[in-house]
Amino acid sequence: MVRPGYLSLIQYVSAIILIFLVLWHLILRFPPLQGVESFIDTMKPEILYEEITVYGVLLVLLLVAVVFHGVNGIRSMLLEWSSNKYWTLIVNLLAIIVFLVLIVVGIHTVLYVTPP
Amino acid sequence: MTIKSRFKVLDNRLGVKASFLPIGVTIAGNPERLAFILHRITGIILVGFIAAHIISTNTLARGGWEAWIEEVRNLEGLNPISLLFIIAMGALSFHSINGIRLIMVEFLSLWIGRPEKPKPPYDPPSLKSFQRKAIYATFILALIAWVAIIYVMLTW
Repeated sequence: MVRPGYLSLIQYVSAIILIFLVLWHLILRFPPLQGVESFIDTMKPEILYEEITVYGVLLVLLLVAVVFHGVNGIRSMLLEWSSNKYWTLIVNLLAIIVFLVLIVVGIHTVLYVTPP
Repeated sequence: MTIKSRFKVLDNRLGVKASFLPIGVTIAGNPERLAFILHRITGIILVGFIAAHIISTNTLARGGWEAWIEEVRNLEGLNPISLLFIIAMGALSFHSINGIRLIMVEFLSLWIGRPEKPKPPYDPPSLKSFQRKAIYATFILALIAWVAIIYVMLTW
């Protein structure tokens, strides 16, 4: 069992990682940077395929950090409702399941994308 | 601070209900409360958005590029989906900029001044240092970032 103090520390560390990765993720949708004319064009298949294949590791790091930060945030909000033993168990189990499902779906996107 | 307004402050103790009932919280003189509640509300919005974003981008692997192009068309112009996207971007702007402030204050213990003995009128000492300005700056910067994102989305 992970100690709550460590989870809180990881929550802050994931937030610091996210500041840089989310900024990078948003900047990639800036049209002049991609040499296209509109926001929609920055999501063209050729551009996205190159992004996913070249920066796959960064995207997975962003995925893990954002899903952990989000799920752990909601988990701590739900745990404020009650300190009941069963409620804590249910919330923790649900958090682990949602975390794993979203990570698997996200990694599936990065690994199974085909060339346009 | 008068006794009457002191009771008003006690009324602020809504606990977890405050996350879902921001209108029930008195924020006069304490922008930190507003920032706290907005951080929670935007966090809840972002978890929904991120889950939807991860599932919708999976279209690439499941349905191929034709399905993806259909998906991206939903963001063209103003429609219910692009409106939800704009709301999520507003939540992202506030949550990330307020998050930077929280890292400074809670994680690095900066901007909150020195601890002091509580004495009447019990104004929060944490708001006497740079933090109060930082909270106002957070609201302004988040609004600017949101407007910039909307500008790029709708006019480029």
